[in-house]
Amino acid sequence: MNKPGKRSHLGTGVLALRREASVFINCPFDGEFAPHFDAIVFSTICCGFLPRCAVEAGSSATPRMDRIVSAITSSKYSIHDLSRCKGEGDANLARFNMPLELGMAMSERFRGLDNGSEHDWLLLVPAGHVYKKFLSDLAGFDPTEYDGTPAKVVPAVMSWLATRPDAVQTPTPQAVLAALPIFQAAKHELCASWCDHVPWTDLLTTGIRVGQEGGLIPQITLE
Amino acid sequence: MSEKRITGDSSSHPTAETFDVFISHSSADKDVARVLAQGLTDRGLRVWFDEYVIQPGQKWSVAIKEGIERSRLCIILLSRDAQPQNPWLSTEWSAIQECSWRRRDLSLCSIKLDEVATPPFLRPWQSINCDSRLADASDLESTLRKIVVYVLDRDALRRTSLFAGQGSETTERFEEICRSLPPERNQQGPEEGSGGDE
Repeated sequence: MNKPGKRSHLGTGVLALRREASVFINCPFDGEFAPHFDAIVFSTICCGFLPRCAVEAGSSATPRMDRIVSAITSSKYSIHDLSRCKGEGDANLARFNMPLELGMAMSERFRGLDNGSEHDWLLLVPAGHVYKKFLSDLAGFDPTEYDGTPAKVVPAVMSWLATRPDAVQTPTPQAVLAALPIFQAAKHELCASWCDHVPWTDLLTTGIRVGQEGGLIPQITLE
Repeated sequence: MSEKRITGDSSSHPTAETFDVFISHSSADKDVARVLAQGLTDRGLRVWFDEYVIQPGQKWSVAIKEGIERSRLCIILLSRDAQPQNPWLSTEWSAIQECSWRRRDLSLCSIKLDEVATPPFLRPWQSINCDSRLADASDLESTLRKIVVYVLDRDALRRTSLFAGQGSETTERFEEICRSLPPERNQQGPEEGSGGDE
């Protein structure tokens, strides 16, 4: 894809791409949610944006919160899914990292108001989710509801990204959904190779390759 | 298209199940949208315009999505004030894009009220330039006539193929992304002696 070289950005949580082309993904990435996570990441790639994530730097001496802040502030866009914000397990506890990172993205929005480059975010919630009961501050916002399936999250994500100021023309959700199983299979191989500790950039380059092979992304020849 | 002419009195607008035209606009362009809606209604088209359709207490986002779903042609007014950072416009544009992907019988058309770039998602569709912001009578008449044609003849708004309209912008974006990433490794994982990541 491009010439081999040092990946000096790895481990620092900073990918070398401008803010306007970066999207921070804030959603669960455990096994049960993997199909949704894969769908969001692959859709983002096919729309011509670089997905950023809390796990992009892997293990690092930098505290996780610092890496999250760095990834959010270096992304003009973010996508948040509150699916896991519900009671789980014996203690019936909900995961609140997603609302925490959503709050950070919302505050980030106010930093750019003067120069027209304010952070923009998409909130995804499964239909019927009771988030308003414990996140009442979100009552004034209009999240995008979906039925909880990757088949619905792909058009939801793509229709939002395709209408952003920094968008480029995109393939259709139907085409992306058709290629999604191929991406998931490739990711499965990566997970096997890396014992489930896949470097984030390897996942992204795989997504680009699958997109190119599927005719969703232009073939790129770098000098 | 309905042969029946509807009067200019907004209270006479029927609660139609389907609409010929859905008008998307920013609040700053409300006056222009109103002129456009009235002009199209006078020509017998069924127009979804928020002032005609949304009832007090009705959830705005639901009404918008229903209106888009029931329309044949979505007209998007583009201006310096029509920016997707506005949450309401963001919801509207996203819904229009999603619906246009799902419904092959839905057409889109943009009307440029100012010197602004056409958003990428609208580039495969026809665009009408309207320098006078529909204040000029002949400008208004010309615009209305074109829209009536588009409602009757979807081929006039023929969409380009998947990559035909992408142009250099998309290619440049992916060049930029690819330059920021390392080359894809082989599938065997970290190479011996490479030390893995830096």
